[in-house]
Amino acid sequence: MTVQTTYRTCPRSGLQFEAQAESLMKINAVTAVVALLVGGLLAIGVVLTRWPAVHWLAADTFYMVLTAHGIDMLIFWIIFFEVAVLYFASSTLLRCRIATPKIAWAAYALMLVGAVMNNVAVFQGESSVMMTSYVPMMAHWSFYLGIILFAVGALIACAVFFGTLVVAKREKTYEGSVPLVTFGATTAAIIAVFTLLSGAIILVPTFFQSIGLLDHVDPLIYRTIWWALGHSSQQINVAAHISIWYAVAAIAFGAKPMSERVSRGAFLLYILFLQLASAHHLLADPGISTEWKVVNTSYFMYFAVLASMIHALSIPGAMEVAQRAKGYNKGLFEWLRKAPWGNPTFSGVFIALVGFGFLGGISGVMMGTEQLNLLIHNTIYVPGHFHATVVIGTTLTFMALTYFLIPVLFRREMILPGLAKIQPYLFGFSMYFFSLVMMGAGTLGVSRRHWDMAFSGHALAYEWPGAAYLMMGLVGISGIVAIVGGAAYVLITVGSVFFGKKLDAGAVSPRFTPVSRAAPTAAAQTYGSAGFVAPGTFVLAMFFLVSFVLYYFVNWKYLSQLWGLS
Amino acid sequence: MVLFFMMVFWHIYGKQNLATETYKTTPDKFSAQAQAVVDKYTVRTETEQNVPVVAPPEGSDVYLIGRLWNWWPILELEKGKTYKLHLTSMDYNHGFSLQPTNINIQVVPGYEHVIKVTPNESGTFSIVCNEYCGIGHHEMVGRIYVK
Repeated sequence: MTVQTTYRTCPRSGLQFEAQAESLMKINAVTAVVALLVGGLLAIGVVLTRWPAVHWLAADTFYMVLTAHGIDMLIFWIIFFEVAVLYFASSTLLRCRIATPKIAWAAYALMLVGAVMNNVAVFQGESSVMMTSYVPMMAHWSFYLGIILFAVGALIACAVFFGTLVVAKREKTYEGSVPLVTFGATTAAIIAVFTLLSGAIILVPTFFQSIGLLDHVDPLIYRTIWWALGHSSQQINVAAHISIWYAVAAIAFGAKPMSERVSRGAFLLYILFLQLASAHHLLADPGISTEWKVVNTSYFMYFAVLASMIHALSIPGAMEVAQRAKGYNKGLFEWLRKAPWGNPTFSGVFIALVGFGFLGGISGVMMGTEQLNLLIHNTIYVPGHFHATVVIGTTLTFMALTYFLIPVLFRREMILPGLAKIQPYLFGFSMYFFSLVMMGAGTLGVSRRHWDMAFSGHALAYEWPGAAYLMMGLVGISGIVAIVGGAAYVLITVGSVFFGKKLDAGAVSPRFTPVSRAAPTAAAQTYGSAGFVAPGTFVLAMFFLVSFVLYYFVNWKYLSQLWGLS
Repeated sequence: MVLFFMMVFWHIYGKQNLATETYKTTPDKFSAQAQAVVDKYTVRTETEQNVPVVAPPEGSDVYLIGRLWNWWPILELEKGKTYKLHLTSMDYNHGFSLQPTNINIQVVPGYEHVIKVTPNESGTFSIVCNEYCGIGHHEMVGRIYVK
């Protein structure tokens, strides 16, 4: 079967883009950036209201803006971008036409309609139910319908991804196993299917309740199943951004994973165990047995944590090995000092990797421990954690990847290269600080999703310690700096796509060239391991473990001082 | 590896474990039970809303209602004594967040969660709601005194 399409070989990267897939990637990525822009504007409202000295928005507007910020960022920005990544990892890396482009466009349309419908519902003001939308608090029916349509669209996009893998296999566009990056993306897609189905299982009845067809959805069952959507959807991000880390390590350094098999095994652990980590949202809930909580969140979750640690060791390790091969062999860290820190694709990924591991990883394990969870459940520690994982980990990684894609996919020269150089540092480090002070405030007990920590005018008002106010003030300041960093990203990308100098598209051919091992990006497209000599990375890993253990026991100590509970 | 043992170790030997004793309940049933305790052990009322302050005996069942948008009633406990605290919500999800000690528990409507609590310090404690429950969420704050 021959299909009418063309393949363009990018002269800068050697990557080959199929015409249909290329436009699909572009449209999904652009829509994602629009969602990020909206979410970023909303972030201004959230941050300036939670900054106690500013306390900007009125309560109802604040809750509405917070709902929209959460959904636009956590769902729409990230999943639109992930769809682009899925198409990239299948069609581009395997040099294969995309399966059923028409259906892929339909998926995009569904997602767009759903996203817009959901946003309209929120901004009409009747659906300030937060992203979690716990029953029995009801939103307008179009709120649920929007999410359901979006989820169906995303499911179809996953199906197109799997279809493309099949096409590549059948048309023999590559040899041997699929490359690691594609393998990781497959992991993400499998988790996505699980996640979106869970979402459908619980949101469809909730939608029926909102239009009066169903009279009751059990609140505890809702929480249990919702979190199979809520947290697992973040595991899609983890799998996706780790795949991108491998891709960037390969593209920036020609680095191969230290052990291909171990890395693949680690992705496999994600599929098996990561979803179970979603149980940690229920640790402070009634009616769920201790055994269930401990087994799900400890033993199973630690397998997932183990997988993350493998990646965290493997990716910098791969970079180290590749750098050492280039002769940067002095001392433990010359390979790191001589890394391309001025390249935003690399610096973004590295800042994301370190922040995800140290801030997101350590806080995540702490939160996921049954008893320790009592300390921070529903405090602002929780958003502190997920801003470290999702914003530093995923969003910054996606930003870094965009800097690579602007010349390669959009064929434009990047405008403001100086700003692009510092953007990952500005955004990344302000987010580090933002997450840290949020966790600090959370440790002092400050609630999340709360409009007025002063309880002004309330007879039983609780007065938070001064340190909590200080922390929340710092949240405000660092949040604003991070928003500026995010705005710089939007400015650079949108500006480049519209006004950047047009670049040569490269040769177009009606046929794909099978993946050859000589392409500059070969490491991202082939199978193979690079060996295991990375002492610098090992030292970093030890440092990580020590800080981890210290922090872990400090929290147990803190717990032991609370009221007796049994 | 330590991580693997710590939770189980604490479950058996630690003093801070969240009980899992839970019953299905309804708002009517639970408010009747709470009202009975309030009628029996109220020692005074506070604030303009005359919120009863309940001082239950050691070891007894104490009921605390979370609803839009307050915690009811106010409790007065004694340091070092153990009480069986029953928690539920009359409407939406709420979050029981005891400050400044920082104990945070999810309160889910339809489910009655029974927790044995033993205050280990005296003073005035606040219960902040830390699960978003609508426009009055930030006004939902209650109190526990410990003598």
